[in-house]
Amino acid sequence: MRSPYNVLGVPENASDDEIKKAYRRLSRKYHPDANINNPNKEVAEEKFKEVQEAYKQIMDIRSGKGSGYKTAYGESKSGGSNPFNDFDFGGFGSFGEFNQRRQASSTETADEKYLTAACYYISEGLNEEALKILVQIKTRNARWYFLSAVANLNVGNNIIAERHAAQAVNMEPYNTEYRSLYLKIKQGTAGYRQRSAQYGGMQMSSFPCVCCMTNMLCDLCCRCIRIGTI
Amino acid sequence: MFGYIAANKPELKIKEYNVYRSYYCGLCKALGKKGRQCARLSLSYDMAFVYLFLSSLYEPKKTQKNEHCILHPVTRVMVTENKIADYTADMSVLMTYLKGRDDFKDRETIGKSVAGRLVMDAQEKDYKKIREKYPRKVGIILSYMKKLDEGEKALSRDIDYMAGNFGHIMGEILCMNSDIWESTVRGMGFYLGKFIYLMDAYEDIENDIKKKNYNPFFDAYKRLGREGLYEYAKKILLIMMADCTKEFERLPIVDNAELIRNILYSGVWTKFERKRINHEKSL
Repeated sequence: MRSPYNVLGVPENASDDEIKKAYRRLSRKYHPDANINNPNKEVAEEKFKEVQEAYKQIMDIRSGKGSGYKTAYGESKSGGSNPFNDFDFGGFGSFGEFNQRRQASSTETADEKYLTAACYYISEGLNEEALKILVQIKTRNARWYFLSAVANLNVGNNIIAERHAAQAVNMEPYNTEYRSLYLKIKQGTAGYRQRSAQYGGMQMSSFPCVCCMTNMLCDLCCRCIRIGTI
Repeated sequence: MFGYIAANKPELKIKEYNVYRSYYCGLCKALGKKGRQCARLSLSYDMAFVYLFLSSLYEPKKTQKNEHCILHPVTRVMVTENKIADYTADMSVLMTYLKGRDDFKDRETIGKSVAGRLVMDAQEKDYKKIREKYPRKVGIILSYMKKLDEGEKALSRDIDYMAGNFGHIMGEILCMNSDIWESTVRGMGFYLGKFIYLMDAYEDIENDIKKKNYNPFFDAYKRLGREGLYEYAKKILLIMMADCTKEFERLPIVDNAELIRNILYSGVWTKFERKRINHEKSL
């Protein structure tokens, strides 16, 4: 089986932009609409699908989602139609909590058993079930906040996820796993801010146009002014 | 819709600005083709963005030509047309109709009620056609609108839940096809929808408190005050756009990528900051 980079004809250290351009070049060539009169259109269609899969695989690897056991359409093992099973918090499933599958011991409290169960559900992509368990646990320690943050992040509740990730770190500042999760969230917003600056930043534009009519009127005036000054 | 998903125009190249306008005008034309001029009232920056975004993802065959426009009698405007315009026009009419229905039901103000009723009456036929054309999509959108309604009645303070309901609606609108891009497009729409909902709630907080209307920021405002709420809202809106753009960057969009980035990384903040500046001026 060819490597996805090979399929797209790019080196492994190609930038995201180069990958996207390579995809476009090939997809435009093999797109069904571009091959209607091609006697080998089935071959073109196969190639088109191969190119799409290769691109998706590369993007999944690069964003840390991994190709794992997910199908081409991002369905999780649980087979649910929840699109947020795609949000597997990148790489955290591969170490620590989620690999240990701690054995239930007789010294574990009921709450600890519930936390372990929630942990298991998360690793299986069953985040809603994990949240149902977590909500019932009364003692909320750092591990509770961490698991809650992860499960919430996976279902798209990023506001509460950030708050709980911060709380986990507050309660156990030396836990590297909890810090990693919190840092990952923070890096996301820092990266966005950095990129935002390239496009004018998070500030007001000087065209105060709100609705269609006002905008059209302003544009009409501005066009006349612009034509006058150029 | 709400007009938040707009460009930071001064930062656009002239070429990019013209392309942006051509999609806006292209959508206006597609709405006009629905046969009824009132459909054009559904035109918004947000839906023009949907048209631009989907066109850039799927790259359908397009025509770009200069045409007359009733609001631009002097010079012609460039208009982009492709088959995605029809889908976007349908979604625009759908959202305007549902918002009109919502306003009419809420009876917040007489003005809004009457306007809502007018919109409903004008677009009733179009709405029925759209419901027949996309039964599953409309069904899903209606179910999330119901959740929003129930959440408001229960005075829900779960911001993620309430914003998420609108997020799912936006995800459904953005997700034109069930294909390899579906989960990423849906995710992008989800966070964009959450952003729109939260932005709208933030803009309306003081008005809603005065009129005793539901607002998910009610508790936060009481707890943090105006300045505190600004900082809090900015933080969560930032998280929303960070997650939205993370999804966007996974897509193989090359055409118009810089224009779309102008909108998603900068343009979306235009109204937010304007509210702050207006408030500072009034002090």
